[in-house]
Amino acid sequence: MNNELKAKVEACCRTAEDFTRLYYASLDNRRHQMGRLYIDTANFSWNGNGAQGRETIERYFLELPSSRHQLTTLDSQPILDPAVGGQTTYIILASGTVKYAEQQMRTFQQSFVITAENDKWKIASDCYRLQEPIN
Amino acid sequence: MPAIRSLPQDRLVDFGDGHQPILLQYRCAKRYYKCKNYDGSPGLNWIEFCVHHEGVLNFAANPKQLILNAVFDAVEGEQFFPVNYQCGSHVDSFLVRACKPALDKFFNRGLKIRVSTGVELHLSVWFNVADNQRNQISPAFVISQVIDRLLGRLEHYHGVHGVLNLSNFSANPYFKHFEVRLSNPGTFHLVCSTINNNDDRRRAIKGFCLAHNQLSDLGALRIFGDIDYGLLDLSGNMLTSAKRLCSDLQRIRAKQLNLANNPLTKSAKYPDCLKPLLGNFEIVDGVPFDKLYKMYTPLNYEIDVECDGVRIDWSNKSRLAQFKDSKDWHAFLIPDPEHEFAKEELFDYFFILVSSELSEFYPCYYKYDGGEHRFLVRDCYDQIEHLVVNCNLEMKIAQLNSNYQRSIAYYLRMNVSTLKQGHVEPKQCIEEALQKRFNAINRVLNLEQFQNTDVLENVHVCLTSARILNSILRMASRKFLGNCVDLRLCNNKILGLNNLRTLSLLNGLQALDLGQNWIDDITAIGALSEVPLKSLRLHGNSLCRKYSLPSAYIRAVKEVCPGLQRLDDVDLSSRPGLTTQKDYLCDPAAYELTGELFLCQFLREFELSDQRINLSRFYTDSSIFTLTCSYDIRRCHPVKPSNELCKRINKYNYFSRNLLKNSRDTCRVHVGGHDIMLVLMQLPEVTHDYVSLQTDVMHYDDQMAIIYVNGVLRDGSDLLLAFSRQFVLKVDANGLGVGKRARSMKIINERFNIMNPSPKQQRDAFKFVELPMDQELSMPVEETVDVKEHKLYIFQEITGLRPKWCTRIVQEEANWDFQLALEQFLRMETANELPDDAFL
Repeated sequence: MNNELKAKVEACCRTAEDFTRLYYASLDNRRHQMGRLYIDTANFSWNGNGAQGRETIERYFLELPSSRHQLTTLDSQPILDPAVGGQTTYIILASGTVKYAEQQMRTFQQSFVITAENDKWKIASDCYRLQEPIN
Repeated sequence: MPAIRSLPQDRLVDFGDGHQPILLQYRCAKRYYKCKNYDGSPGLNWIEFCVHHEGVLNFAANPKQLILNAVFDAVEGEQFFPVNYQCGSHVDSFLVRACKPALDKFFNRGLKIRVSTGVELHLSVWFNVADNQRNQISPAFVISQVIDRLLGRLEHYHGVHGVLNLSNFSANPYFKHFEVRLSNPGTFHLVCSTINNNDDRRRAIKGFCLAHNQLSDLGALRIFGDIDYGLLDLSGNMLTSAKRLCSDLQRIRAKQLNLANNPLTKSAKYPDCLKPLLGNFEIVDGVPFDKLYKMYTPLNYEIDVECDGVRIDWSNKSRLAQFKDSKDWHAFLIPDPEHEFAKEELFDYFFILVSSELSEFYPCYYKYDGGEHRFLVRDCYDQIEHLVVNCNLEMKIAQLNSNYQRSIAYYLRMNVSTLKQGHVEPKQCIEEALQKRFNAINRVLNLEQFQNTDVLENVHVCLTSARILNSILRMASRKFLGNCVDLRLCNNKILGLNNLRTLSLLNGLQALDLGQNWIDDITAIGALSEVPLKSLRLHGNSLCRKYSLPSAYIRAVKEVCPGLQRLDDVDLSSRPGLTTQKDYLCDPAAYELTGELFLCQFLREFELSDQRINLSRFYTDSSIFTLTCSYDIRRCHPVKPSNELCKRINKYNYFSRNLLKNSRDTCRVHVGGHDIMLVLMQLPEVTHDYVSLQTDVMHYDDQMAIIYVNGVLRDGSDLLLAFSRQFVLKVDANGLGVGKRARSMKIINERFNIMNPSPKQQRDAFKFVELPMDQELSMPVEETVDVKEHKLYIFQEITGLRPKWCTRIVQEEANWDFQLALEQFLRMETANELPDDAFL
């Protein structure tokens, strides 16, 4: 791996850590601000239930029971291909455990594609899957 | 050859009904067995027949009937009355007398009969087994008594007074000691001449009911020729030959003829084969003779649209008024020389113009002929007036690509025919259709694709029209009242149920299916608030697309139906927005990625090392791959994990990258196809549970796609693991394949994640097996016409060939194998075998 690529990968790692910290803090404590984390045309899938656009996504979150997420793994990669149009874009995978309201603990995993928009990291797509369905 | 071994016991046959008993004595009797002739004359004494079946028919449903059928076959129409039929374990026996012609037939056959099952049975015949005495039973005499009695009791039947009822004649209780069959022409002749000889009473006969007699020969009826009867009921017989029927009935006349349930009526030639009888009978099975044709339409037989009726078009609209009170049929003629519109499509466009305020409009006897769509209507002057005056006899056709609206001018022919008996009455047909569609046991009125009910073949019932829908539902309410709990109206092009107070008439209704209709707004079903519905289906209506979130959709529907428990088959108490959906596609077109184009192929090749090596084709020099493994051995094996298990998990752990443990880990980032394959080839062989897979396609456009999959896999033969993979794909090449639409994809980023399987995943893993793809394909599937039509359509789209050429290649040369057809097309094009005029 050359130095240039190494620098990019390291930058990506830092962003992934910072970003997920902010994301899960918002998800567990400040749901009403979730919309800010997404670009206008973001794509969202929560256990296969799709929602498109920032506002719809935020409304979807407001309907979920309260949650407490705990990460166990985190990984990220930069998307280097010209297909992303020179915009810095990362994919992030986070997995861990979550407790919804009074329900039992479950394992979840979440994949993001984030992109830099006006010096802020915004989510282009967000896919959330619980390993065990919620009742 | 007479043969006598030990003689049977003498016995007395006493019927106990006043007839003198018959004393069977075998001393003076002469037995014949397996021979073709007899000595002297059979005389007038009793003869005993013994049928040596030796028990071979013991397992048949009705051995006696089988034997009697064979016996009556053997006599070839000669009069024959077996008396005192006795069934035995090896031998059945009966008595006859005075039946020389029939007897000769048996001897001609060498005293053998052939049962319909194919078995041959031998008969032995005892001549002169009992003396003939006066006051002994005489079948012919009993029959004449029975007929006399029936003549004194003529019946009212099918609206005709004075019908002689001979239906199921054999079952008459007076015949319990002997066998009488009208299907035996000798017997039938006897019966008919007995009737005919009764000069006093035969004039009172206005009809005959001969139903259920297994009749196949009606020759005996000829003596009733040249008299005008009211009814001849021949239903439920074995009439097979139309030719024989027509010749037997040549001179028989009756107003009504019943022929239902004869083999004849099911033959392909029916009813045309009855033509010779056209003048003899007016009504056949309740249908006027001239309207008996299966595909009967007055447009074929009675109406000539070239000259009948009065033509109304744009030039003489004012003449319409004179038909204001007409009760006759009026024809609509819509020119379409290229047959551009199918029936369905034509009516879709046509009903846009039909007013929902005015009377119900039921096009009848639709037919495409002479470059025109033709149909008949009656009893809807106000609609016709609206179509002529307000719509100017023009049908508007919406154009997809322009603001310009095409319109087709059509014309009418008023009063083309009066309403005749046998013509369709739309309301009656609908009533009948409703009855057919109602299941009284589970109280479901299933009107799914109502038009497809067979009684509606000649009537177009357009439920898009609120007025018609309203009227049908009102009719249903009247018929079934509170009895209907489940009403299915799916697939009917319904626009809405608004302003319909009729549903509340179906006040017991609990479930309503409005799926796959044309409802585009929730306000169009406002009337449902008056029905205490528990379940509602709206799936497949454009109104569903207005809601981006399930919860918003549910809320909107619940505002109309607050008591709803199920919506679109989803239990509302189960928090539907939170229910897991198996797959999410941001764009329906992305479906291709989840199947053979990429995902399935990738996973399948990953399973075995010798195929996994081929995956290198998906990677470029700048592809990136990372792996995470969060498998916690203690979670699955809390007691004492084996060393072996640790080793197996470590194969994944070795490559695992986790930023939470090592935040600047750059070593476990694998770049380039070569490095990635080095890692992949070190991972164990696995099997995926394809049923467990859940996929999310989060991005899909002409350059890239992002696809995630998760599910369970088995490492080796026993280690169950949950996994997920994330792929960022780019389009590498476009315009591949025959259709020039295929693309090949390369992986830019890939992530592989290994986790503990959840308890549910452990429980369900590998429970279901999907059929292998090739096996599924090899199953001989008879394609429906729809599929074939679709293939032709697609073929035409791709090749630009004229329909004739499409049919030639797809059907005749490739036998509906689409790939073969395309290859054939390419070959022909290369070889210049396609003339210019083959193309559109």
